[in-house]
Amino acid sequence: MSRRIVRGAGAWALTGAALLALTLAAGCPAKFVSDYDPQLDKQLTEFQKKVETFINKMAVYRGKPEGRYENNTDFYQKEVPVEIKLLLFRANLQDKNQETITMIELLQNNLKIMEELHKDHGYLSERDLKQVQRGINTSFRSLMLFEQEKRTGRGEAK
Amino acid sequence: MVEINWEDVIGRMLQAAANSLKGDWPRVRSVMERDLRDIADDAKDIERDYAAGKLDEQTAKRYRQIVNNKAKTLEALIRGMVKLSAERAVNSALTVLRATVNTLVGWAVL
Repeated sequence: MSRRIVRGAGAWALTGAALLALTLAAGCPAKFVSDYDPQLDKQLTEFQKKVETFINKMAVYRGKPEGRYENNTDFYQKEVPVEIKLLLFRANLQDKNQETITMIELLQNNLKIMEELHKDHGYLSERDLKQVQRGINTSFRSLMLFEQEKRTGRGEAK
Repeated sequence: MVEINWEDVIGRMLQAAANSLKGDWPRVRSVMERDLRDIADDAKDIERDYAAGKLDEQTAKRYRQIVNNKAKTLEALIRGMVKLSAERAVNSALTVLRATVNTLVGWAVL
């Protein structure tokens, strides 16, 4: 008799645990990636515009004083670090955002290489700009595409 | 220097990405194809120009780093897309489970 009660209690405990697990699992949707962040998306667009403008300026001013590294240190040492810091700060506010953070860090590294090339060569050569621009475009394109996917890929409004 | 068949490498990279992303592949295909081709073209050009003495060692090293960063960026993008894909699959299964349990019980238990 007592053995049957114990067995019965065990079965109920198991059923209860299974129901609880089901409730927990079914109640909250699974989330493996952070939410879409419209502010980050906006910051990325604005920063891309700034970088594109700088690259175009460097192409136009190649061989002229305005294109020399020494006359553009503010961009590398003041503007870029602030923008990257803001992007990383924003991306770090959300959980499960490692891929976005990695992509921002790689963008940061590409911009650092652009500075090194500029410093080494005095100006950014046509070849430097082509190489740098391709790397930077991949960074921005991937970051923005992934941000859009976080929204549209979850069936949210486009 | 060992000759690399870049067309073959790109084909295998695209196939691997398509296999990982399955249903999500069409949405990222154009971006991924273009960038993977750029990576292969850039790697080819850098090695050719370095071998021909048109690029000094330091510049070639920096260019290679940009190509590496491109590859790592695409890797992070694919990883993120795979996670999003898995998230959708799990949530679709949970929706079915919720509907089934609620129907069985007769009221909205989940």
